[in-house]
Amino acid sequence: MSSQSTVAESLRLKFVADAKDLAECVGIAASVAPAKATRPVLQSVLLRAEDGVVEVTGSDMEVAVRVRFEQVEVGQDGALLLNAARFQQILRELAGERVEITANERGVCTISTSDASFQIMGEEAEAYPEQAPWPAEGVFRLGAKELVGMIRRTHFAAHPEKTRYAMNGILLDLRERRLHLVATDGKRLALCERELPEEVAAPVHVVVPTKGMNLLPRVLEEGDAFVEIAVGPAQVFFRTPKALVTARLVEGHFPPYEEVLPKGHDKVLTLPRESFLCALRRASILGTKDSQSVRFAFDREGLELTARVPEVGASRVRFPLDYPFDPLSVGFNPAFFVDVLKVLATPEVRLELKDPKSPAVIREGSDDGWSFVYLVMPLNLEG
Amino acid sequence: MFGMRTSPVFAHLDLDAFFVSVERLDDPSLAGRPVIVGGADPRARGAVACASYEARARGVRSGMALRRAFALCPAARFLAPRPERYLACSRAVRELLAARVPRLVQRSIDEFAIDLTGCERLLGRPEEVVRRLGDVVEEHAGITCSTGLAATPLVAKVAAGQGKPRGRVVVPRGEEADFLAPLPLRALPGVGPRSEERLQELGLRTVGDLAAIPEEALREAFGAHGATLARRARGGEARLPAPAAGAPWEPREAAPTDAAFGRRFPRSLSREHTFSVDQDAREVLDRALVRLVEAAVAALRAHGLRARSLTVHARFADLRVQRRSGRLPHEAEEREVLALARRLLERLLRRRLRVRRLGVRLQGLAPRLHQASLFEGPQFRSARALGEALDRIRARHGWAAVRLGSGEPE
Repeated sequence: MSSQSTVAESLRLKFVADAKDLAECVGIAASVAPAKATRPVLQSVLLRAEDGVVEVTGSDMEVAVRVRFEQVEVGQDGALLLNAARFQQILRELAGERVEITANERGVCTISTSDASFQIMGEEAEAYPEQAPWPAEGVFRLGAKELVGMIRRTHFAAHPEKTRYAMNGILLDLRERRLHLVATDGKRLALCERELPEEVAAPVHVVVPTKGMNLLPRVLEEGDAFVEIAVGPAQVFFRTPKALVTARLVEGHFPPYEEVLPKGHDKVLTLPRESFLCALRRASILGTKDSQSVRFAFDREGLELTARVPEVGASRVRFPLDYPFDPLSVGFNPAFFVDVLKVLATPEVRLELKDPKSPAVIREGSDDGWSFVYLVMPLNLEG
Repeated sequence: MFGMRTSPVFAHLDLDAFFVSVERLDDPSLAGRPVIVGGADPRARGAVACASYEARARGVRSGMALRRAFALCPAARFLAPRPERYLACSRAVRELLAARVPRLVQRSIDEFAIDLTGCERLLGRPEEVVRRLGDVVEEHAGITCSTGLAATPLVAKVAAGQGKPRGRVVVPRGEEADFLAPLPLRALPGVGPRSEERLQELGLRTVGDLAAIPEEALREAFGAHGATLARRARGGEARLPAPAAGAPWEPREAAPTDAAFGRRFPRSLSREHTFSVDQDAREVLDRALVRLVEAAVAALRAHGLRARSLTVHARFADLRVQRRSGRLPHEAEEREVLALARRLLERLLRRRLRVRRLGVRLQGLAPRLHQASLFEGPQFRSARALGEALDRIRARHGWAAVRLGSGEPE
């Protein structure tokens, strides 16, 4: 990968590529570019052609991604900034064709195919924030497929906004031979744990912004075996053959998650994942995602889900299951269950319950050194 | 005349010059002299909320501009209203009444409608009951009142109004029409200056004139309001109106629940403040904003609701109104709402004109969910627990017991 030069570069560049492949790379970089930015330059992607390769960079100052694009014929090295949304939209419309991208010394960028051409104004690359360089030390690697699986099972539980605790990110906790990914918004928590083939040199305990973590599945390709990871004092780096992702670490303490892991859950059920998900979706139809409360009533007859939404209506959904314990009635936001049941892969899930004040627990586990546990705190329906 | 146990009979109790009466309770030196509640400075902007009978004798009326009231009655003592105090007195009167009669609906801060139908064996003759209630209020609350007794709540209300102050008016059964007929149109609840003007254009002068017009004709001319007026001119219905849900004098209990649809809740919650003098000083505007946010957020919690967005609106010195809105973060309490309100006000003030009126409105209301938290500790309780603690202190010691530091002193 090329490092970014501070020497003034030529705005001129020229390369030819497949529009669809290029659009995909630009799409990844553009997904980082904020729609509204205090610094307008962040609404651009940086396009750089060098050494027969094109690199596209997007950044919002917190998270940056540089995507490497090799299926390209470079005619002229150079770099310039293009409006992310506009560039991406043009490429998408041209999908399926060979595009030629040229920029002249004034930054006028021409995107052309055999029968269409667009000219948009580019800007000098110097204005763009520099991405931190890949550190030489403290690098370790994790299996790509495993890491993606763990991200998929945790990212949705992270808090969407900045909070006093470092909850708007995913905790990457690496000790001895165990890797934990944990996300929580204070109301539910997802924890994925995996055994590593080898012990890591130094323990890692950092909170990675959700946006940065979610880029990894997008930049990994079929056949990529590993993700290289390096942790700096304020940043974390992820490197794949195709891309470099850098993310500013979320500051602050992650909540003490080990203290809240469930104890004494005596009611253990095995549920078919798909049909349970379907029942929950039915029970949530009347509510909105952030204002749902459904009563889960378990008894010998099975599970009854009832919801009453002020000014909208009411619903009742029955779900047959084998429940040989004392009846239990407890309120939950069904969206918290839907989020997790969507991403699990097994046909059955384990549901563990205790009482109306304790979290519900969902487990998906296999024996080959990995486990997943998900906690949902109840709603007080009387309150 | 109200001897038949099943014949409907209703009483109406109206506290005389209520705000002034409360002020006189707290400051006996105000007795016997003209007093006007509405604003402490009669040269400032504002309206008369309540005038003593001495001031009314000089032509001062509720709703009149303070300046005009001052011109009519310069000797009057002008006082700023103390709504919390009036509300407390109003609640005390309600409790006195509620302990003595089975069916009571409070119509406003100083009016009570009472259903005495079928209560004769239990309470005594309706005339006696009403006289006793009036005496109890005067003795225990120290406020004089006027009462009316009639076969419908509406006629009882009009009767109480005719007897002010300290009147005890009884309209015998069957004489409702004769009682109402000679009264001016404005004596009928629901006839304001505009309706009066339009009815007079039709050549009507008295309630009797109005009662002579067929209901259909009034409906044609005035729509639904016309039909209401026609019924009222004939004495209205013989049943208590529903309590005004959400009115400040109503107790803060859970509203009745509909089995299928749950509790109803308001679409938005607003608070606004009109400055006595148009303002452009940032500190003054900010202090007013803090007070408005504080009141709106407390009301939000009292309703068990949360809000998704906030609008700040300002009426400027040129009388134009402008609004700015924004989305609130999840679980927004005083601090978060105030932060957004300040940003929105900042944008409004780009007009660089003085502000006459400032208001806040919380929208996108939804029931507050009582979601339990996984983690204990101050960081997780913070905003919500603080707000709820504020509510508890205020419930015990009054609204002013705890205020946000940057608000306007009162």
